[in-house]
Amino acid sequence: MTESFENILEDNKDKIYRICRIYAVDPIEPQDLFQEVVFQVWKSYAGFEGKSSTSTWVYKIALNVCMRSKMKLDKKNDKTEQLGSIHIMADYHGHNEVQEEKYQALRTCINLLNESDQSLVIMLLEELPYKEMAQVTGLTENHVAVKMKRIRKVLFECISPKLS
Amino acid sequence: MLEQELKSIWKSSADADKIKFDLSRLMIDLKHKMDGLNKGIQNRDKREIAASIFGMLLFGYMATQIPFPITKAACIMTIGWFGYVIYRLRNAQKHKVTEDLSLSFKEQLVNQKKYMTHQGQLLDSVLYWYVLPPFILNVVFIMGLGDAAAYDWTPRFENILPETMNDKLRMLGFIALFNGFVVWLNKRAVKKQIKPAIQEIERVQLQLENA
Repeated sequence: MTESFENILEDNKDKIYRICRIYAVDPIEPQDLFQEVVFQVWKSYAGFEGKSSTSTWVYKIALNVCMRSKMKLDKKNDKTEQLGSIHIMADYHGHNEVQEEKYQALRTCINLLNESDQSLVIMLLEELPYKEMAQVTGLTENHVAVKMKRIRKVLFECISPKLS
Repeated sequence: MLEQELKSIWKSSADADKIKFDLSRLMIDLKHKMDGLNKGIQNRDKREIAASIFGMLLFGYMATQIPFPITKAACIMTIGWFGYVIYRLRNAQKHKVTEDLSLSFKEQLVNQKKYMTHQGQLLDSVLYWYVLPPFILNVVFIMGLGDAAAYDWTPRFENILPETMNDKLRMLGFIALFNGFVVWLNKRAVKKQIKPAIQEIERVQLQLENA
């Protein structure tokens, strides 16, 4: 393990936050989930043996934390302790309304999928190869490929009219 | 083409929010959060162990004071029961399985189902391993109480201990009611929390397995 925890965090913070934004369901905020993922990454860091790439490892933790929260399987006290050293602020200068509308349309379509398909779509959008998707989900590459064919069709059918 | 556009929309979504870390404080915060969670669990265990030690002392004291042999034996067995509870709690601390969130999603679901099933079995069988053994000891303790005068004994806790059969049955009735309530609470937790959680896990497992 050569990469420091700080570097892992800095390199992966945006992708973690993107995942959290999809899975956060009221009253849980994306910030709460983000903090929980950071905490779990830190907790698992010492045990990370580098058998998979750092990014696969981070995806596994982020998806497991977010899915656990969505399925309401996490312990209630997990998110009570806020990490004041993490600041997430809306960037109004970089805010693009058209882009945000498109994002909301994409989010709506992702939310129409079931939980398992959502996680695969997220990895597709994050440009993970099937091999890594298989490692994160625990499915075979072939199984991922079959699923992705169907999921792509559903996603494209949903999003196309919204973007045109 | 569309896929590329979607990836671009997706990637730019995090730009709307700026994430900053105060790295010097983050390590302290993370450690503090970890300590807080551990402390919560340790305090709960400490409270339960303290309650068991208090029970041991109380029944130890009664064993020395009460002259009735059956009740005395029940006191000693109750002390043994509290000792067993402490052993179970300490053993549970030692063998506590830490969850590994770096496992694959599929393995994580299998682990969570296993954990939930175990929790469900534990709560569902609370009558046999948690309620019934001390209740039997309570029955022996109360039914073993005899006539204090026959032993030339003046109890210090005269008003607490039942003397007549009616008093004994009434007290056992209250204890049975309380124990029944404990069993009901645990069964309710299985029905309202554990079973829906297992069903939720199975639902997602099925989603994952289906093509």
